[in-house]
Amino acid sequence: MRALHFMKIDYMLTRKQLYIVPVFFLLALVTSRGISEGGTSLLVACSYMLFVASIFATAPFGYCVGKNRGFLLLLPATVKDRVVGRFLYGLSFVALLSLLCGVLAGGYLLMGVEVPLWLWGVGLCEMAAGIVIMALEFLFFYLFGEGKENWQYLSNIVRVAPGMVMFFAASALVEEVQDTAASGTGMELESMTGKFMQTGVLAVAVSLLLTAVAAAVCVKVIEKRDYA
Amino acid sequence: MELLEVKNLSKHYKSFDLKDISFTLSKGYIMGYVGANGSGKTTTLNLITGIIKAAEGETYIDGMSKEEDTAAYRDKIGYVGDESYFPDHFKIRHIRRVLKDFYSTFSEEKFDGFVREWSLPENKTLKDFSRGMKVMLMFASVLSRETKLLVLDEATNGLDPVMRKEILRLMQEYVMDGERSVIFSTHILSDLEQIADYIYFIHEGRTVLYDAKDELIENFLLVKGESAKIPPALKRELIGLEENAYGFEAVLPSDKAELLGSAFLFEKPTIDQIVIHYIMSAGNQARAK
Amino acid sequence: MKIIISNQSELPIYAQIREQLKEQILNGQIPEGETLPSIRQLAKEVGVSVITTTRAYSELEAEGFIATMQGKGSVVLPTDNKLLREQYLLRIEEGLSTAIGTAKTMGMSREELTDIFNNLLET
Repeated sequence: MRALHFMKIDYMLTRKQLYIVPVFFLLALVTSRGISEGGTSLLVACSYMLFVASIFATAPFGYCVGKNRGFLLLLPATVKDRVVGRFLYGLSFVALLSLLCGVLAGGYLLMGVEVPLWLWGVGLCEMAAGIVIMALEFLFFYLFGEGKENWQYLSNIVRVAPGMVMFFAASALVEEVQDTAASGTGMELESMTGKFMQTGVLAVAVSLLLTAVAAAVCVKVIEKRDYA
Repeated sequence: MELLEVKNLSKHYKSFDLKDISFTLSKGYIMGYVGANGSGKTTTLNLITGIIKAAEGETYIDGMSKEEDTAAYRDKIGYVGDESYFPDHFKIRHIRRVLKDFYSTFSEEKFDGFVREWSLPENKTLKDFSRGMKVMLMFASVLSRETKLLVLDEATNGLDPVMRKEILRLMQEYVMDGERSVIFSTHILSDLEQIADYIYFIHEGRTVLYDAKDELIENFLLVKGESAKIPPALKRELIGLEENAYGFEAVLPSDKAELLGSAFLFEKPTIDQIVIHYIMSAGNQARAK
Repeated sequence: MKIIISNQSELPIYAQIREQLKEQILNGQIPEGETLPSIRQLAKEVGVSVITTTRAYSELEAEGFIATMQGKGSVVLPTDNKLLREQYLLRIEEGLSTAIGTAKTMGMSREELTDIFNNLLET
């Protein structure tokens, strides 16, 4: 319960950036407009959203440095509550933007545009990648710079780099898929669809497991520190 | 009944050591924790609130250690620092929300009462608050729930006399029921001296004096006179001898008063004067070596 | 009841409180049977430490001016005239001995001193 309260604190800390989320949604809408070529433009839009998610998920670290942390450190709670709360924030933020991607896809479905099933699978894979990047970044932040002032400038690189890699990787993947789709027969695509879905679900499960491990490591490390 | 027990606290840093701090504070009393800047006051208070970890030693509040139940231990403490410890981007409503979520004894009416009483702006972010407003908001957040120990770290620094007076009143009101205690740190007591029951004085991480304030004042004399007239037997006993062209000032243990004779002026010292002369004496000794 | 604390006084704060209360009890400003404010109440009102007021009260109690009963607070005891007389006698003696001391330091004779005393009595 206290972990959830800490998650709430992170949302309050980063409340300003929540206002920008609808803007990104609109951008994604524009990017995916005229969904074509087997839905790849939707995929590009979604990888863009997750790129944003993985960057923004680390924002609470920047809002909570130096003397500003005192109030939160003094709350009647344990290190575990605090760290788990932060990870819940990260997870829920990535989930929120993934959900928006889902809403986008659902919207197209309602409009009668065909959204191929494999696209959902790839989407899940992207969500998993977003979660993994978030977890790794959190791990990095907790191990090397949590609460330190001046650290946030350097941290901007840490925040953006993995997202960039992911964005370009996704773009490459999209091209790969396009090529396969273009060269392959209907049969092949049919069999691929099931695989994509399976891989997607598995990837999400693995990413969640990885997040739990990262959180556990952070708790162990932070518990030994001062100002924790 | 002891409210706060501090046992042999030590903490080591590269350039500074806090060593073997021990004291108890009974329910219903106020302790002044005094020393120069950098003497280890904040380190001690941070060890008590438990946001840093001791190398050795333990602290107990109402018989409970931090290790026993961190959350319950922290619940008993109300802490006010010399700077705002709230996230700058918060507004009062966010503070209220967090207090409500985390403290079962938090009273929204009390909190809002303080916010109104001290005219704290509801719509500004905290980074636009004045220093005085930040301090009062810290007090509001602490006094609107049930705590056992008030820990004030240089909380009256740089406040105007009216606000200092208000904080004095709050501290005395806090201990009124005889169940709760206050420990406050400061590098200069001045008006806080009158309300302190006990004084703990540290210098460079070591305990110098620890006693009831009234005892301390009675145990020392502030001595003034002509430097040339100081007999050697007296000079040995004087603490923090400060000489100028026209005379000297020093502190002397009261039990050595017979050494004074009639050549010197002596009076009852303030705690600040005792502290200053002790720090001078430490400086004199360092120079002598 | 009134208490005024002076930081300039050589008397410690607890003694200032004790003396002022004693004075008001002796001259009847605080009547017999009256309940004094609690130690903590007084400390807060006057703005001094609890230990200070505790000491003032316990000394007043030791001197027989007040009695503290658990849960009832501190009550002013009847001051019999004998006690009152003793207190005043003590004060007269104190004043006179200061005068005599001063007279001795300047080497004043017994006759000169009694002259001053008699003259003062007549005015």
